Amino acid sequence: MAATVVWKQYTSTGPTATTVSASPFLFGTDDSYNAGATYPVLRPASSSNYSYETTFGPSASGTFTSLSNWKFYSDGSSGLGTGLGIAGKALTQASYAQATGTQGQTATQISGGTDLFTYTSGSPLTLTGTISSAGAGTVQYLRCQASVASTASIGTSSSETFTLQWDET
Amino acid sequence: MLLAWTALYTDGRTVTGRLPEDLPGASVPRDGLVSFTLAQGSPDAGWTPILTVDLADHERLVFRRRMMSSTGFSALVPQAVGLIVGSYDTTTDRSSLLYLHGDGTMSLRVATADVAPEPHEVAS
Repeated sequence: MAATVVWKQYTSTGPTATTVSASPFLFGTDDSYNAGATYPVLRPASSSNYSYETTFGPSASGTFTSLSNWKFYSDGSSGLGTGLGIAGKALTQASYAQATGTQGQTATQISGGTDLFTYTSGSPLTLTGTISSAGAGTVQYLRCQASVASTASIGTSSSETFTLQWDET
Repeated sequence: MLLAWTALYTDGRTVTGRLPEDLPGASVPRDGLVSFTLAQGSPDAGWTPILTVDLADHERLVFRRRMMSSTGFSALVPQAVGLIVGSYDTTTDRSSLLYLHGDGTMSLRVATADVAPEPHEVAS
């Protein structure tokens, strides 16, 4: 049987891992699971506000030998809406730090993040590492942050879909 | 149409499996494996070989299933989108791989260095 793969969101200092089941997942301004459902990003009067940095990682169970060659990419075009974006980067698990900011308002812009919509199938973001058996693995995390400019509309944005790809043995 | 595979060893022993349930992973030792054949067919109609990888002493089988899932960071629903079959050369640290894409096309990569073997693929 193929491996079962889920996204985990990592929060707090532990970190605490929570299987992502919310659809759509909502970026927000709190260090908690699916924070946007309770603490959305406040639209600023000028410039941009940011969600807390949000950390995801693939987690696997089932019968397999290894899962490797992890790639993450978009269709190359943002459909989120005017003034909205998502930036992100690969992060080693050892580099994880609890997200911070001003709850219910904004956070500091992510350092070293790249617009996720620049990653395409021909130029994907690599998440280095291998999950070598069920529940054990060292695949890099995906650290993301949503941005909301003053030009954005009030309310929940349109949803976007990305692709996660891997090789299973 | 189903896919099945047979691994043949120097001592004449064989290991067989069917896809998608049986991937030739760690349960299929690479040491002594001299031939790997992928076949299509069914138990009733029989099996027709479509690809054979013959392996020298210094080569090891590489076999992987490429998976893909669309995600809005919500639940993942993986689907198989291709197979990767070929050999890893232990003397040159390079792999030569045939990519069988889900759309029916194929691509070949020869002596590539950017596909690292998994531990079970080089264990002896």
